[in-house]
Amino acid sequence: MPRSICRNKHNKNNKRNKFITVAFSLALVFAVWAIAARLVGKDILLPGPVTSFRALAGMMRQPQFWSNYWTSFLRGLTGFGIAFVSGTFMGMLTGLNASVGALFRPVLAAIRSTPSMSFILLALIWFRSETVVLFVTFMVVFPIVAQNVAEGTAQIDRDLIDMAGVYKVSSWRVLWEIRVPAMLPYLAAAAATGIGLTWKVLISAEVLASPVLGIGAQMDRARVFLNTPEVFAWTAVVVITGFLFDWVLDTVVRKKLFFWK
Amino acid sequence: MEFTIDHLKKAFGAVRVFDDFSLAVPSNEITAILGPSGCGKTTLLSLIAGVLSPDSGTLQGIQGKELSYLFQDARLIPWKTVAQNIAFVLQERLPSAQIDAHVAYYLDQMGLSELGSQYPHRISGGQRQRAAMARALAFPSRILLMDEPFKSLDLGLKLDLLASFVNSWEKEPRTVLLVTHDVKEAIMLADTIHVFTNKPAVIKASHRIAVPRHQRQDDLNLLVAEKQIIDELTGG
Repeated sequence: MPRSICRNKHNKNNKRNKFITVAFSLALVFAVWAIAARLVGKDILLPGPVTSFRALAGMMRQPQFWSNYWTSFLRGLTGFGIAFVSGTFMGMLTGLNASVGALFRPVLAAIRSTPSMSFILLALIWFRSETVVLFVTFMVVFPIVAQNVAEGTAQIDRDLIDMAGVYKVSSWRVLWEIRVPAMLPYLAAAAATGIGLTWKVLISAEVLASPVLGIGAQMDRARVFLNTPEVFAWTAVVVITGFLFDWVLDTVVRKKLFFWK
Repeated sequence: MEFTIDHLKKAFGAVRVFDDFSLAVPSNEITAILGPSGCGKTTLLSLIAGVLSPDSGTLQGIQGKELSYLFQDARLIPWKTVAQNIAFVLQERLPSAQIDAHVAYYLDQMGLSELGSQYPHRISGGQRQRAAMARALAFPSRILLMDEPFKSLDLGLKLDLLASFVNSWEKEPRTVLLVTHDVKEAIMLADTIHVFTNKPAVIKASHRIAVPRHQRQDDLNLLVAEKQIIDELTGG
């Protein structure tokens, strides 16, 4: 049998196995959740999956759901985008220049170790609710991106740089054609971690800052009215959004851009 | 002479690699350097290529000249195809309209015409080394530095690549400085062979090989030369 046919068949089997594993693991989670809800017996404490998804379906029919969803979504992306761009710049600077690296590495480590709740509480004192969310997302994502990019920049294959140097390839082309592509896997890893954290931090910040619109604010409102199925429904929305981003990063970024890895 | 090295000194901490080392490399000839492992052969090429700087001494005849360098490993950029890897070093040297044809010519010279659009991870180690050789030859240089480029290849691939290299070099001779630990390889390729001592390296013996390259395989006198060089190398 030709190798390419063998490989295709192998890939198909792999995909099918992966699908079965994911389906099984989801079924297990839902089964445990349903049994626990049945044992507790009170929706106000632990609603089951059916009650929660019924609540979600009800929420989705209301126009406010989408206003709240898109507001949080755009807020998250804006905070993540600012942190990602500035983190990439800072990471390249610290990775390329040893003195800058020595200066900023402890600062980045300190920001990374600071509990996100500290940022939220301080931001609540300093800013209005809209800015709180952006500030907190930035402070959490920025050091992660910067450290990943710095690591990628510092760990570049010196042999390729020496090769380009011997052939007198311009520094600009070395940057664009060797350094930047070599750094992309680190950037993608930073994006995956950063975007996952963004949704978590965003919701915490929205719960405490209570902006007019936003998923976190709606979750807090549902808590106040003891509407636990709605809290579960919003949580499911955030989890699904996170899964979608993971899937995009995995299929589009990792498989298409890093085919050579 | 293409270039000369005079009174070169280079040390890494307390380790003196070169201490008053001199060498003359003739134009359009292949000069081979043989020596024990770690005697400074690769360091010498790095100094000539400008990757390292000497502590003192002069290198004359190098300034302003383009160099090609064939490393021990292929050093191909993994996200570029074989053809793009060759074009990568040509973009600032040739008009864009000529690059494709130039790359295609050297791919053909190295027997890689079918593999130009492949990425390095999709081809074999021997093919990657051929691609690196195509890149070194395609680069419009007067001088080619070769650092044990056949070291990691098995015998069949090595003989194949040696033959391709000799064919290409005979069409367009340039000054070659070849570092190797393989006496037979040096005898098959070089016009002059220098045998180095251990660190700090000096030239212990030099041999001129006057036999045409295509007759070297069958020349019994060269077996005597080979034996003599091996004795010089193992004699310390």
